[in-house]
Amino acid sequence: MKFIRFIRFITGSIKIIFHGSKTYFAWLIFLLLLIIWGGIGYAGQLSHGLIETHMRDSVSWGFYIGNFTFLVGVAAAAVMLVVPAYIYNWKPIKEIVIFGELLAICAVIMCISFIVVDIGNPLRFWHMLPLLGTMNFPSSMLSWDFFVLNIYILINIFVVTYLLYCIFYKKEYNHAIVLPLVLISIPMAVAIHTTTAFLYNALPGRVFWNSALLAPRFLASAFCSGPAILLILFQILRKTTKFEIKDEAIWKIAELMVYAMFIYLFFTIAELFKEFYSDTEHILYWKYLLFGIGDHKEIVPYSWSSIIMGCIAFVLFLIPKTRKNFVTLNIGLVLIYGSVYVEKGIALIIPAFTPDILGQIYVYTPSMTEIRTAVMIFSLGFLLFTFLSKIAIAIVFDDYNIESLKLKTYSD
Amino acid sequence: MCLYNASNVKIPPCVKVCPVKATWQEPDGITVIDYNWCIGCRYCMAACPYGARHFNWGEPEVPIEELNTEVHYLGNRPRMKGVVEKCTFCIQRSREGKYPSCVEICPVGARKFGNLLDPNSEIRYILENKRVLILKQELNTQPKFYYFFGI
Repeated sequence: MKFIRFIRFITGSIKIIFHGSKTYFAWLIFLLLLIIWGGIGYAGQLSHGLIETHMRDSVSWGFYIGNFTFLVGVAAAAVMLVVPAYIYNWKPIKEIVIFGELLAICAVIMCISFIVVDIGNPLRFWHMLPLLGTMNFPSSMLSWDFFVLNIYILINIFVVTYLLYCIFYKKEYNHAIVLPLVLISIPMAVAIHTTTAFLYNALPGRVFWNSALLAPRFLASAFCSGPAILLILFQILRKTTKFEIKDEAIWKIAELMVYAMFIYLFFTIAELFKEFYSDTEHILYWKYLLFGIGDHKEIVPYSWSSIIMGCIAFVLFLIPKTRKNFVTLNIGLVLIYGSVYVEKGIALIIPAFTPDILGQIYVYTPSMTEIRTAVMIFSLGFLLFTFLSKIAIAIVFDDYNIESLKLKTYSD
Repeated sequence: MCLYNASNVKIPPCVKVCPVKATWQEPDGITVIDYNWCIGCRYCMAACPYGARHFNWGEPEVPIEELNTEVHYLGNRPRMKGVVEKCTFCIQRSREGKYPSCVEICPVGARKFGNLLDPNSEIRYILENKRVLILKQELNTQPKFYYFFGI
């Protein structure tokens, strides 16, 4: 009986995505076009191999792994909003949990997708599984990452599905099930990003990544930028649905982001001091990143724009006047998001491989294939998030529930 | 390039990080790759401090006239697109008691190869009597690839 009820919940939820405004369908078609365009690019990579990318032996990880790293941060930070919501006793804590976890689910799916498109033999993906394959746990950090990402996404899927199911059937949810899982998802969020940081940290051969501060910097940058998407989303939801979140709550989140930004700034200064004051040969990679080596200044504009965007966002959030002004707040949100994206994507991966082991400089820029594949994955992620949000909005705010199904009418 | 001595419990960084255990150290010390199991994630390439591993980015093409018929599963058989490969000290030769091809072909005898466990081998003489250096020694990878000054 319970299984049938669950099926009815699923089919009822799926029905929602077929109704919507013209803007909604225009958005869907836009995403579908991007997915097709990107998919054809990826198909070229599948048939000819990774030679279609610009990665080579010198720079063996690039755009895909950069995007993966960034999205792990988003997935981790999405759930972190639960902590202040809980501590400061915000009214919409249930909604924050639901939307935060929906974002985390989509981000983790995008992460796994980026790994699948990056490996040379995607069909052999199952080799990473325990029992069926030969998972190298606990030795390999990639196995660890695979493990914790899957646990994290399972927790999130379960909690969100269960909460929406209960609201759909107008039942009170069982706190004893939800609360422990939500509380576990918080250290899990820290775990996924720390494990990803350790993935890079584990390699003594890559001097740029071998700093002890790498994992703390990862977490700080995730908490700077992750809540940004949710803050923008909550403002949109506030205007378009019955979602209520006080201005003070939004300002509080921005304030917490300031602390994270400050810590991130401090860590960066600590790294820069150690490298530039000690002035050993290891300075080479930071030099390439910030000043270039000789004529090779390819990523210098990116690293500085990331720093400048981050500093502007920091100042905008620090000063209460600009933090509370929604125009400057939103500018700051976009800036910090862009700053961390450039930093995780370009400023983290490329300097570790440039100059390479033999001291050569291979200039890596993503190829068209890589860009198309990334667009495909991001569009798929956005599409999934659109669908899941629409279902969540209908169930949570528009009182779409089992009664609506029985009436067999649902108008948007 | 590294040849790890099996009596040494040191695990090479590439072996440590492979998520699917597609690369491992054989009992005689050679670190090998199972090309049929490798998923091509290139984590081992990121881990190797020596740039000793290479990836088949595209489809390798060997003309049929040039195909070697004496191949080893873990060595010089044709590799496929999307897998990592490395020097295996010509595993198909060295296990038959022959020198690796690079050692044999060197016209000036600059390359030496031998059994580290044999006290009478050439390699042991070099280690005990010549000036020897190891690349990136501070990383403690303990490779068995030594550079020496012949004179």
